Amino acid sequence: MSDNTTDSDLVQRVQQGDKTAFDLLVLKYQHRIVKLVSRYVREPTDALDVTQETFLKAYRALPRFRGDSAFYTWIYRIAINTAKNYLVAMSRRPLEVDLENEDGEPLSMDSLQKSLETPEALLLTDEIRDTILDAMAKLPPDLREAITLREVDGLSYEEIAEAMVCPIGTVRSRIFRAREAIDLRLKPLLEN
Amino acid sequence: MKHEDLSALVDGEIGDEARPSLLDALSADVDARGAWRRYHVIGDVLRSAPAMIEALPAAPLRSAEVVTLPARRGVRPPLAGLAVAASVALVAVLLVNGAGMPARHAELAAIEDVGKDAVSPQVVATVGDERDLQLVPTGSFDQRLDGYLVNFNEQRSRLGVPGVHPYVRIVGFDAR
Repeated sequence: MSDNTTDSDLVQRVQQGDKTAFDLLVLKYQHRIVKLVSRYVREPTDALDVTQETFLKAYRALPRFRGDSAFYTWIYRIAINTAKNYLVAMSRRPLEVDLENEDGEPLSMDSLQKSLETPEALLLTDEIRDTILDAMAKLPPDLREAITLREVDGLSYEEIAEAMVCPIGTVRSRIFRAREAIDLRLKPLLEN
Repeated sequence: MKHEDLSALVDGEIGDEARPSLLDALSADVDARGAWRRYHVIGDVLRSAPAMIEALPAAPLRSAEVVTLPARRGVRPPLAGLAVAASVALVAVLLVNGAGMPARHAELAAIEDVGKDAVSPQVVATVGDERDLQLVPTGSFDQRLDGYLVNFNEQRSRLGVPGVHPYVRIVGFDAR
């Protein structure tokens, strides 16, 4: 089991015509892609345009994606290429976004479009970061350690259980409770 | 959809059998999709600021972890006071008798060893011979020493001096 397994499932679903599965991939990776693109494209609005184009290219190319690499590695390359092409063009004209797929069917990437309506949320402002870090600081030590080992150090539940000398079920519960505590503070920010 | 399952799904910790149904539930549940997004935002932020996480202040203790220690007198072993009292008394004896008893070093050492085993001065007196009885404090001396310590401690605030350490005061009361 791994994070990639979930991605593979989602990719398969998209390839079988499940557009909601692509929404989940967008929701999962949009912030990482924006951050990545922002290293090349400084202007926030342009970075969001490039991000949107990246996901559109990915959606179109997904039927040909064979899963030889992880989905994120694949879309990472698409994002880099799209950003570089943008820099080469430097025309500053708005990117032409084709909201239709290869069959001429309109895309319904609700989450992507919704995110673009609130670019400040997509860009993970200082306020969002500070809120998350402040919530982290208030977590009980065992919850903070569990989520840090997972998110920062990338340990599996089994490895965390070994490190914290507790059952895997406890690790799962601690990480969930940590996320819930942080989410309680984060949710109002992202929804507003 | 249970958000604890969603949390495990975010971490890729859901088994092959359960994952399809969870993904179905996630696709159909707007609230869960919002949480899916936010859980990933949390991860993105934490990964982008590992140094800041390390620098976070120590987490507050939960109320269950706050332990109120009982009063010092309550946790002290009963013989500890006697042990310290024996040591104090022995020092006093050495001071009173001076250094003019070199022949008795071995006997004093023996008494000191017994004193370390938390035996009161009175008990020490019973383990030696008659000559040793002269080395251990008498009852009146012990009383005077206790009285001195108690009086000094009571007056120390007026004198403006630090005074006797608390454990000495405790010895003064508990040795009785």
